[in-house]
Amino acid sequence: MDELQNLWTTHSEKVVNELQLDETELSNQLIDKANNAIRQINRVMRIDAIIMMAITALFISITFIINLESKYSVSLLLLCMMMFLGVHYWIKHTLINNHDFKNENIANILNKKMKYLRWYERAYYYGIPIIFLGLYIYLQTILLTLSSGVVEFNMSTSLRYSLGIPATFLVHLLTKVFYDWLFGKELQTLESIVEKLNQ
Amino acid sequence: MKADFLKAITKHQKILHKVCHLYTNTPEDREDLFQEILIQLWKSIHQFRENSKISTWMYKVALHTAITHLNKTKKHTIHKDGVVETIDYHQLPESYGQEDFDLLYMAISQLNKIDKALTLLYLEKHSYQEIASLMGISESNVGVKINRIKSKLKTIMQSKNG
Repeated sequence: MDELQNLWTTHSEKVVNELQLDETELSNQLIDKANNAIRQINRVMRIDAIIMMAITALFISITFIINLESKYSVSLLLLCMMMFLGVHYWIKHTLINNHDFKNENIANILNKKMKYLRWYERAYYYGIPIIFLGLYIYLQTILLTLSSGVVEFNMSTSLRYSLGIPATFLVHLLTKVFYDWLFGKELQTLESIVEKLNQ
Repeated sequence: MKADFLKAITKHQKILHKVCHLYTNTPEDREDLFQEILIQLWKSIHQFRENSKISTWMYKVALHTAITHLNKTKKHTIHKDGVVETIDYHQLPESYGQEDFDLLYMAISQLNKIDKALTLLYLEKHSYQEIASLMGISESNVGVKINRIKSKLKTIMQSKNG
């Protein structure tokens, strides 16, 4: 067996010597598992942004197809929202992909990533329904003022406005389902890695 | 302690590479296991005490991770003479261009996960006492197991050498 020990020592040393990594490479290896999840998140984030842009374009087209009187102001509002969402995506994308390996430790980097993703999650869960509610009230007001120019508050108009609440709740639920479908699995993977590191 | 983590790992990384090579046969599996061990080392850094050898701590974490990592990805379990055995249908280990070493490697790859750990520690010239302490079994049991492994390796190598 001593012969085998010598054989092992000689050749295994040769094999592992070729695999030596420096500190930066080891750092990268350490967060690579987390990065796999991040790469997947970035891909779905792009899909998400494209879907948002397509929906905005569709809404603008509808306002022109039905020849809505205030189509320009509504379209401008929709474009502003799209720009706001675009900036939001850009900020998230930049924050998630930039790491300060020199000054930050790995746990800090991963925790920051998680923090940004949770902000993103909250923005998604609450931001979109709030935007929807604002848009719903705005469109109802436009539709109600088409004939007389003013909104007459009665049972019918109150009902139309109040329908915005369950509709917003439904949008919130749909947003949750959509977000979980897009990011759920990847976020769970990342969360479990971060949890392991923070234990 | 955490600031010195990467320095320590860099210095003793051969341990991790050796464990990964022994427990995996493909570069993808190897990389996956390597990352898993790094995460486990990072997670358990607070358990490491200055008065203990860092290499021993790394062996313990790396081997434990390799064993549990493979448990998660086991492909098939069979019952043989009342003993449950896990069979991994990994491809054969890659060749390192040295006939004797390739043969040894191939023979080790056919051992079970615990025997692989014992073999590695033995081949790395750890004493029976160190192996016992690291693996959590008695020194005499280490001796018995090592002798059994020796004959197993001998049989496999002889049969392959033809």
